[in-house]
Amino acid sequence: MFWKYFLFETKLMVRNRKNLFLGAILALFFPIFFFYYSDTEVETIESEKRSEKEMINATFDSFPLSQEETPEGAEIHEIYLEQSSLVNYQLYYLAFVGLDETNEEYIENGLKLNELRLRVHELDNQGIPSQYIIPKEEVLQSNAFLQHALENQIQLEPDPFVATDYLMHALGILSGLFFLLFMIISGSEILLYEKKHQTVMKGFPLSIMNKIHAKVMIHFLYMMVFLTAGIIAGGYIAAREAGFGNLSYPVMIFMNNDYVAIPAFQYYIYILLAIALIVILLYYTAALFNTLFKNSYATVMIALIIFYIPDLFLMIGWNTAWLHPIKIIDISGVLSGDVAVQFGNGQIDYGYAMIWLAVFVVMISGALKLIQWRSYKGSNRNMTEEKRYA
Amino acid sequence: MLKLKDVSVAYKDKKVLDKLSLTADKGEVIGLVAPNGTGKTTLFNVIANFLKPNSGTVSFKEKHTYRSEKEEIRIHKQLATFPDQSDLFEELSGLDHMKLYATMWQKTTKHLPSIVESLHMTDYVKKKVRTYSLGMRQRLCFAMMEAADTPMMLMDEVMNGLDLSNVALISQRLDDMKKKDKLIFVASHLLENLDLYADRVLFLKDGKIIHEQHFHGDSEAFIKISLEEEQYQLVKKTYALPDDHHYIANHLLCIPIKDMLMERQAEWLDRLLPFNREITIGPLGTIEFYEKYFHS
Repeated sequence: MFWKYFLFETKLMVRNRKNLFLGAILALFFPIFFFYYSDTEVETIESEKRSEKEMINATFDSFPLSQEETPEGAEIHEIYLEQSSLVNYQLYYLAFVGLDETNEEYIENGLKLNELRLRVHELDNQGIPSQYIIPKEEVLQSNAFLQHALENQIQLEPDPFVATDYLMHALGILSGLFFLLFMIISGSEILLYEKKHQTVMKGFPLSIMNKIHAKVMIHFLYMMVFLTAGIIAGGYIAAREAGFGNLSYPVMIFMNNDYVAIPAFQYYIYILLAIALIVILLYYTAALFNTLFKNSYATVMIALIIFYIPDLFLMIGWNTAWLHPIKIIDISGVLSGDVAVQFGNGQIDYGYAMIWLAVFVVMISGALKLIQWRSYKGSNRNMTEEKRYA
Repeated sequence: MLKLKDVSVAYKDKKVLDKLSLTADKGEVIGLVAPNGTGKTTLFNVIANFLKPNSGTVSFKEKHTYRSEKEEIRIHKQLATFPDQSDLFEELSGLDHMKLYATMWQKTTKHLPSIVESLHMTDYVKKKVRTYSLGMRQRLCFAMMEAADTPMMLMDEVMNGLDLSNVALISQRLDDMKKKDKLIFVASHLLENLDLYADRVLFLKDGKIIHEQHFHGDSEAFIKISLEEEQYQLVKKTYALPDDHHYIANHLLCIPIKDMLMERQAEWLDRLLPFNREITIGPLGTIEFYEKYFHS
C-alpha cells in the first residue's frame, strides 16, 4: 500500500508545476553558469605570486621602524626579507621551468615560504597591517597542497574550466543559502498540498509517518534527478569546451583540524553524499514546519531565519558551539574549512557535518512522530488538527 | 458493527453533538437528515476520527476504537469517506482517482471497468477532471467509493449536482451495495430519495438524534392533506381531530388511521374533500418528518 501511495504521489509530483520549474532551474544552473564562469578572469599562480610580491613590498613600506628595535619585530623583518627572496625565486622558476612539469624548486620554496608565514603568525604578526596578513588557514591549505604535489608529482595549475574543476566550483556556489532556499521552497507545501484535497486524501489506511516518508522520498528523488541531470549537462558542456580534467587531481579539504588533500573523485563522493543527506533533512524540516505552522511562507521564512541565526549571533559576539551544526547546510564551506574558520571551530569538518545531518534527520522525524503520537493521546479535539494536515 | 456512545462535540459554547449515541449494523443504509450546519458532517468526521470528540467513544465491531494510530488504520481499512468534488485533482483523470481508491483499499483495480460501465463514465473517465461538469465529478466521487468497496461508507451530500436520471442511477447502486452487506451512512438533502433506499433515517437536531424513522415493518398510516392555517383551525373547531394528529409546518394535516374503522376513515375523507386539495394516504415520509422537526 505504501508503494501504491508512493506511485500516486509520484503522479502528483510530475504534474506539480512549481517543482518542475524549480527542478528545471536547478538542472539549467550548471550549464548556464559555465558560460558566465568561463568569461571570468581566474587568478593564475603567476598573478598570485606577483600580487604576493607587491604585498611584501607594501608591508616593508608600512612596517614601523620602532618595531624593528624589538627582537620580535627584528625577526619579522628578517622573515619578510627572506619571504621576498623566496617569492622572487618562485617567479623565476615559474618563468624558466613552468608549471607543465614537476617543479620541485618552486614547491620547496613554497613550503619554506609557508613555514615562514606560520612563524610570523606565531609572533602575532606584530607591525604587519591587517590587510597584508595572509590567514593561517590559507597558509595551511597551501602547505597541504604543496606537500601533496611534492609527494605525488602533480601538475601545479590545472585548467580551472575543465569539467572536474568547474563542477566543483559550481557546487560551491550552489551550496549553502541558495541550495537551502531552493529545497525549502520546493518542499514548502510538502504536507500542506494535501490540505487542498483533504477529503480525497484523508482516511487512507496508511500511517501518517509513512505518508511523510513517501512524500520526502519522492521529493528527494525528483530533485536528485534534476540535480544529476544538471551536473551531467554542466560537466558535458565544460568537457566539450575545456576538457574533462583529472578526477585524481588533489582537492584540499578541512579535516581533523587540518587541511588534507583528497582526489577530486573522492571530493565528489563526499559532497554528493552530503547533498543527498541535506536534501532529505530539508524536506523533513519542511514537513515539520508545515505541521507546526500550517503555512508555506512561514515554512520558508523560518528555515531561512534558523540558517542565519549562527551568523546573527556571531555578529553580536555570541559564538556558541551548539549553534554551529546549523551551518553544515553549507557543505562546500564545511569541506573548504571556511565555516570552521568563520566560527573559529576546528571541529566543523566533513565527519562532523555528516554526523549532525544524520542526527538532525532522526531528531526531526522523531519530532514528527511525537506530534502524531500526541494527537492520539490527547482528548482535546483541536489536537487532531495537527494530524489532519498530514 | 458501529457504536457511538455519548459522543459530544462543542465549538466554544455551541454544542454540535450532545451525548449522541448510535448503533448500526452491516447491511444497513442509514440516512442522516438535518439542516446545513447542524452536525451531519461533524458526526461523519467523528466516526472517521478526522475530529476527536470532547467526550464519548466510537467503536467498531465492539473491539476497535481510535486509541492509537494502529487501531485507526485497522478501522480505516473498513471505512471510506465520500470525497468532496472540489477536492478532486484537476490535472488527474477520473480513472487515476478511482485507481487511487481501489489500490488503497482493495490492492487491485480489476473491478474498475465494471464500475465505470455501470455509472456510464466510459466516455470521460480517462479525461482530466478539469474538463468535468458538476454531475460528472459527483459520479466520479461515487465511483471512487465503489472502487474502495469498504464494508462501511460515509457519504456526505452524495446526490449534490446530479440530475434526476443520475439520482436514480446512484440510488440503484446504493441499493445494490446494501445487498452486499455494507453499512452506508448517507447525508442528503433529497429527502424523498432517501425513502427509496434507506433502512432508517436519523433526524439530527441540537446535537441529538431527535427521531429515527424506520422503513421496515408496519408504519403507521395517515390521511394527509395540505391546509392553510385558517382551514386547519376550521377543521379542528368543527370536528374532533384525534389527539395524535399532526399539523406539520403550518400546512400539512396528518390524521392517523391505524385504529380507525373504515366508515370513520371514509367520514374523514368526506370532510376533507370539500377543501379541494390533494389527499394522500400512507405513512409519514422523510419530508413530512423533516418539516415537522425543522420547519415548525
